Amino acid sequence: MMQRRVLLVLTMVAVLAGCGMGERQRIVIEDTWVREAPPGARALAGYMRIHNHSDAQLALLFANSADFERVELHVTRHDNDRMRMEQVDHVALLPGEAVEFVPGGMHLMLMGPRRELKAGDRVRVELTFSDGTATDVVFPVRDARSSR
Amino acid sequence: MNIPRAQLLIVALALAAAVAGFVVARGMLPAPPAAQPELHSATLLNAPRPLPDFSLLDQHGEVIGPEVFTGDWQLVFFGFTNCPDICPMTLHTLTAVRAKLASQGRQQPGVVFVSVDPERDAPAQLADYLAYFDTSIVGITGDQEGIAKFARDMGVAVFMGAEDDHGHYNVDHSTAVFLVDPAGRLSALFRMPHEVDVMADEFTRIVETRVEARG
Repeated sequence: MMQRRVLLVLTMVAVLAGCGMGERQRIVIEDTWVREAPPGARALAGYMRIHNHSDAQLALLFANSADFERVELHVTRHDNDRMRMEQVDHVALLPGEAVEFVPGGMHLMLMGPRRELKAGDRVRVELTFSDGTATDVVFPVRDARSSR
Repeated sequence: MNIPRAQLLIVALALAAAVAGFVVARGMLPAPPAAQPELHSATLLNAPRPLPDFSLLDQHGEVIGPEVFTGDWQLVFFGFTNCPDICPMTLHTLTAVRAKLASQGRQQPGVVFVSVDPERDAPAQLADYLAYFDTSIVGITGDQEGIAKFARDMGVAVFMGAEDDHGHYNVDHSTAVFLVDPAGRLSALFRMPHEVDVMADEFTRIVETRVEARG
């Protein structure tokens, strides 16, 4: 059957991929999510945690997504009561440490959505690192309204 | 001792006058300020400051002025609809503060969102955006100059970022949430971080303090 064949191919891909990698993933990305945008908003924010399990300092350099015109790395800075959103050209990933992308801090700025994104949808974002590797990561869209 | 009667009378009269003066003063002067509540997130203004006159638009395109701030306590936040991080986060928090107070049967403030990007945040855009959070939120937009003046008068610095190649720009703005009393006077401000439980409790304490001070 078709489904079986697909499963077999997927298993082989997984095995091959496993052989190509070290014993351990150098970079692990978890807790990914994109805040569902209120109607009319042309920019969304994406959050995650990036662990660098390697012994080397790495950096996140770029983010791209077919669902958006452009994705940038941003940090929200607070100077006294003034809030400033700043684009950064990379995010340093120290060996053995994790970087948090959280509301009010570092975030992916996802600009110009190409389709309407609702809670439950999934956004694919390609993250490119300083060692030349790129990873496709899935970010579920979540309704963050806390009171409902 | 032989004190002349006249002198005794003068002393007695002076004493009586002092007591009478004290009693009258107590009645006439405002009550001594109630003990300031212990606040962590909020900063109380020593003297509430009346808001300046203004004429701007709400999210339904209606002209509004300072009267929008009279009658109820209001939490006022400055932001813009293309701000993806802090603005939705703060609006979630403020609606959650209202919900929490409502669930406990306590007085709730209204919420007012002032756009610092009125050129892009036309009333219709603002209406859709705000209704996503809570249909009771009042949106304020209008002309850039009017908004800039209103923000300045509230003590909010607004910086328009430069437009990039893609026509995108940011607006830096204050993250403080302002508390306006039912007489339309700026009363306190809540600084970051904005936590629902802390803000709800401190709002209640401020309201109670102000009521005691008046009574």
